[in-house]
Amino acid sequence: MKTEKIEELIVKWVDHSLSADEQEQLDEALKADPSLREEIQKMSEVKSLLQAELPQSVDPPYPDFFNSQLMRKIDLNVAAQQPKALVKRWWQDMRWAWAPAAALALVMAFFAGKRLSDAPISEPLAENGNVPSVYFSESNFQAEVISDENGDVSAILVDGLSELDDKGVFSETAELPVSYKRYEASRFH
Amino acid sequence: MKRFSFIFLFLITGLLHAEDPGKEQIGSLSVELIYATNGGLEKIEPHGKLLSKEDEKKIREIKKLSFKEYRSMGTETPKVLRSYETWATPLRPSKEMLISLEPLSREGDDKLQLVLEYWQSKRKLFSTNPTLVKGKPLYLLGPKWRDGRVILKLKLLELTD
Repeated sequence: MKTEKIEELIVKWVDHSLSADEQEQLDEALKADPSLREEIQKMSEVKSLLQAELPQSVDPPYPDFFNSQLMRKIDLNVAAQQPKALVKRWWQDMRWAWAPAAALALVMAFFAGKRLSDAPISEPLAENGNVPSVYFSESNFQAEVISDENGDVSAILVDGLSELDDKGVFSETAELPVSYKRYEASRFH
Repeated sequence: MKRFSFIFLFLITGLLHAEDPGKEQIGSLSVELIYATNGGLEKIEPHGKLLSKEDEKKIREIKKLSFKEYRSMGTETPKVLRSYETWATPLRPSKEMLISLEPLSREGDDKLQLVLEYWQSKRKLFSTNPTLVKGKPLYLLGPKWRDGRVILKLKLLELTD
């Protein structure tokens, strides 16, 4: 019997909606593959868990639309299923573990980030740390770096920048960098 | 298992609301906007303050920053955060000119290397990674403005542990 058919029978069994004929087919499948009992058991547990957690009934806000969309999604999903994927069921059995695994990854990422940001930024400056690099957005810009007698940078002279225009300077609708807007927003939280 | 997932997600939500150590202040800077011109000051008057003699002498030591007149148009003192950028808009109240600053590395209590980006409006025009030394100003010669030039003076005010 095809795997899809067996799964359909199992779902119906869990929902108590098997016909006599279908019950017979399921019994045969169980005889042929006793491991299916374990799957039936798992699906029953999931059903019980859902029944315990979810309210008995919730009316969707737009039932017709909801149903049509749901059926559309199911049709698309079924069409997209490859028989090969259905055979590989070992990872599907572990689908409930995905949420905690993702959560654990988030926690680890958080602590990794915390460790990084806790680390003092006290590494010695690079050997050429006192000679800054200047990166331009346009090729016609030029920069000259001037250092004092100790080698410390005292000035960076940039030429080629467009002149500041008072229209822009006093414009109330000036467009600002997104990162600046984010920074400003975070200061007031 | 589902309950376990909910508990985990609940814990994570709590953790994500914890204080972000990257936002800790590790120092402060001053960013001063100086107007420099070889012409008259009528284009900026009555705004602008005279520089102190010491400041004027220091700036004149750099030949290419030597102008006839200087006026300080305003100073901002942005915080330096451990791993976030901060911003200064020295041409207040206008936000046409923006500077973003983010620390890169430090040496002791008196040297800080940072990434400095210069923006005009929403365009980033250049970025550089100078090292600021406490007690030594860093001058940036910027664009022309009102028959003069804009000079930004950056100073490392403090660096905490």
